[in-house]
Amino acid sequence: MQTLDCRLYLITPPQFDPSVFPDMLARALDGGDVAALQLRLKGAGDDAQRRAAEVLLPLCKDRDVPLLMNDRPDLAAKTGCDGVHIGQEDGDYHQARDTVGNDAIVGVTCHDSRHLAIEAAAQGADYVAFGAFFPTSTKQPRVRAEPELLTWWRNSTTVPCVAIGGISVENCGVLIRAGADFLAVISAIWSHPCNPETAVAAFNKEIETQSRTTISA
Amino acid sequence: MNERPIIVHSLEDAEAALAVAADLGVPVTLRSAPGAARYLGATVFRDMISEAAKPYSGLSVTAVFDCGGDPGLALGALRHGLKAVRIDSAADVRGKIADIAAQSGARVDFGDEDSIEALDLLDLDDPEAAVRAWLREGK
Repeated sequence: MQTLDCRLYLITPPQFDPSVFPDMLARALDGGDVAALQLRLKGAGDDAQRRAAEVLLPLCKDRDVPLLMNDRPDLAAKTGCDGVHIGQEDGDYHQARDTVGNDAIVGVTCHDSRHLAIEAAAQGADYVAFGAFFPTSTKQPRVRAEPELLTWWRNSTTVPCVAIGGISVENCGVLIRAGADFLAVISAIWSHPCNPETAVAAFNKEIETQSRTTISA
Repeated sequence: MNERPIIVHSLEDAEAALAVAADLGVPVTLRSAPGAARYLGATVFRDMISEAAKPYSGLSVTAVFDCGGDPGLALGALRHGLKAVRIDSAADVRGKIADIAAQSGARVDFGDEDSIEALDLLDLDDPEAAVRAWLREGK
């Protein structure tokens, strides 16, 4: 019998007001199970990223949710983040690992590439991220990953995989059934018509539903 | 008003959109992400747009701050000087908010224009190219 234990992986909005967002994040994290939060500020300077990490870390620690810094192993280490997520253009795995240490989490973007994922896993990545699975806007993403990639990965290795790209409550089922260990979401949480905690709860409900359906099938 | 809005999430997004609009010589409408008022303060959004628009004094820029379903956030945004807000509100409060907005020369969108597609710059590899194609299609 196959078991599915998919979990939610939140990514922060690309820009936020540090005096407003923490309360919203706290409510979101209290809305249901969240495996990790990635701090991803687009185009922000070091000071802004450091301040953001400082205000978010206590909230995450209180709830046992690891906080991962995007792209910047140096800032992750300096601010006491639990790990770092690196893209293919953001330095290599070994450099990141050396900077954050062996106890920290290092995740690697692999787009739709099996080769990149195998390489990252062999080097010691704690997870690999595949995507984009769905369009995030009216334009198609440059790289489009297919759900079968998640199934192949799950059957090939024990290293967890994160699915990313345009994921919503409505379309996440196929990724859960395909074997995603984590669903990385941005807009579906922060732009939810009601509120982020409702979105987190809805994702968890869908994960539970899909898991039950798949396991009993 | 250009009816091909662009959703911006950061200063980088706004700068990319305005650089292209200025280059093409077309007016542009920038929108925050849906419900962004919940995490992006009104002053942060206002300052972000102002900063991005600095090099383009002659460019017609409409910046719409999306307040989701919260009339309080919309009123707060208007108090902070934003000239266009978007809100999904019940019909009974629409008139009041529109009146308050009008007193400061501001505009309120109530989501009635949702049939109009918007270009979302979230996670685009080349936002400038996407904006260029988007705005050219609307010319």
